[in-house]
Amino acid sequence: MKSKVVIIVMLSLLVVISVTFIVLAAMSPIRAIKLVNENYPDTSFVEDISPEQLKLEKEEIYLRARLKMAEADSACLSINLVDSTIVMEIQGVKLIEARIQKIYSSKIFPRYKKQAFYEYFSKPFVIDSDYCTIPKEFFNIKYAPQDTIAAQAPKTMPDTTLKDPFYFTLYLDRWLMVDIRQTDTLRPLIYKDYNRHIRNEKISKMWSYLYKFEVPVYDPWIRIEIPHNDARSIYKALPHHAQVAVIL
Amino acid sequence: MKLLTKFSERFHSSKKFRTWSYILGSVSAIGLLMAFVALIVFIVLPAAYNGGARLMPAYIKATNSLSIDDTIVSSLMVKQSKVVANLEKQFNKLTPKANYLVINTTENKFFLYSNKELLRAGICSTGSYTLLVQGDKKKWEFKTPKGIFKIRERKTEPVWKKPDWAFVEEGLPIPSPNHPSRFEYGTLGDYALSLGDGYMIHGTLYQRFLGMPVTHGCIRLGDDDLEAVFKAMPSGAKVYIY
Repeated sequence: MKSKVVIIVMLSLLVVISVTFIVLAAMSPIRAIKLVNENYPDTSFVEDISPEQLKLEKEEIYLRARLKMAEADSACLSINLVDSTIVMEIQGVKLIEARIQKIYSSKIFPRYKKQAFYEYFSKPFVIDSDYCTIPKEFFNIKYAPQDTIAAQAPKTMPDTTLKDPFYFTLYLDRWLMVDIRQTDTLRPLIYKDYNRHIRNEKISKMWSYLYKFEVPVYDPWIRIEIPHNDARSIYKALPHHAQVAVIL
Repeated sequence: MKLLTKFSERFHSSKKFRTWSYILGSVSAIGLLMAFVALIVFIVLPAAYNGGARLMPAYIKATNSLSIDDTIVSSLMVKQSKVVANLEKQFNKLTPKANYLVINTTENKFFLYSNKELLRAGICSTGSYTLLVQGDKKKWEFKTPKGIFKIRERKTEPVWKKPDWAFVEEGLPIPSPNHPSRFEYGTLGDYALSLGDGYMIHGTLYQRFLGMPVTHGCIRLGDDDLEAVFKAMPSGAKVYIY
């Protein structure tokens, strides 16, 4: 009888802890919205504005962010989810423009207050870190030959990663996460590994808050799909801490 | 009351009944907790984050808010359209009016533009991403630098002054800085455009490698493309490499 009581108490505790974790995890998007909205007394929300006015607002925000980025002399990225285009540019000069084939995003953005939305997107984001299925730079190491005969030997291995599937995630400041994938899933195993990595990152981040019984920080995300060649060129050319302008 | 007494009697007398009671009790408790969680997650929390405003139907919100005159809204939009047009103008001014060259080092392609109009496009060769290592002492990275560059010097029939790595790579001893073996004629094609720091846009004897990353950092073009680029790009013209 005593052991049964212990089991029931343990089970109850487990259920209570699980419920607490679920509630805390469910509160994280709300916390994210609050973090952005709390500094703005304005009561109107993005979803309350008329479509025509919102379109103009978005155009203005996007252009302001791009003009700000053009002040720097390194390559930067502009992602326009309204027009479904992704552009890489330096000082306002277009280097690559690609059509976005598919767009997915967090549902929390329309819940931003108008002023908060404006402030959030009118300043360029900066890439904090990234994760990609292939390395940014692939160097072949070649040791200097001792003589002219050794110099005739086959020199280097070709970079085979260029044909590999291309998926990468940019972790931006202000909690935004941009996941860019090639359109075709050519090698399902790499695709699965990539998804697993992204999911594990999210879970480990969430756990770091949950075990302290804190509400986890929710990163709003955007996922887009573009052609393989464009994804590859963009990732390879993007500097480590490049600026990114986003509008959606 | 009678039902409760009957339940209590069976609970104490039958072991099977007791086990099932525990199982059903636990399942019900979990079910109730889940319902409680769902209540919090889907109803209480969404209402809480905005003081209940999100639960208010749209038509109530509309009647509660002040009605703004349509003319004020449209004049605001006209004003904002002007702001957007002005920003677009500012942004478009950033693209050079003069000719400029864009190099894609990943795809090994070049694009020659005048303002935003594409004049010519084709294949080129860029850095091979090779790291040449000589003992513990020296290392050379063969990659094309990325960023904004300007044409610093234009040369016809350029002569290549071979740097140290060209001898190391061939397993030859490094000669003195102005030794005759350093000077090679015809290797760079008919024209060369210097970008600074030893990097150049030039021609090649190995036309079959065009479109591949095979160079030591310079940009190689085919003969016709090189001539067109050389003629179109004066000193000071911008080259964007990515």
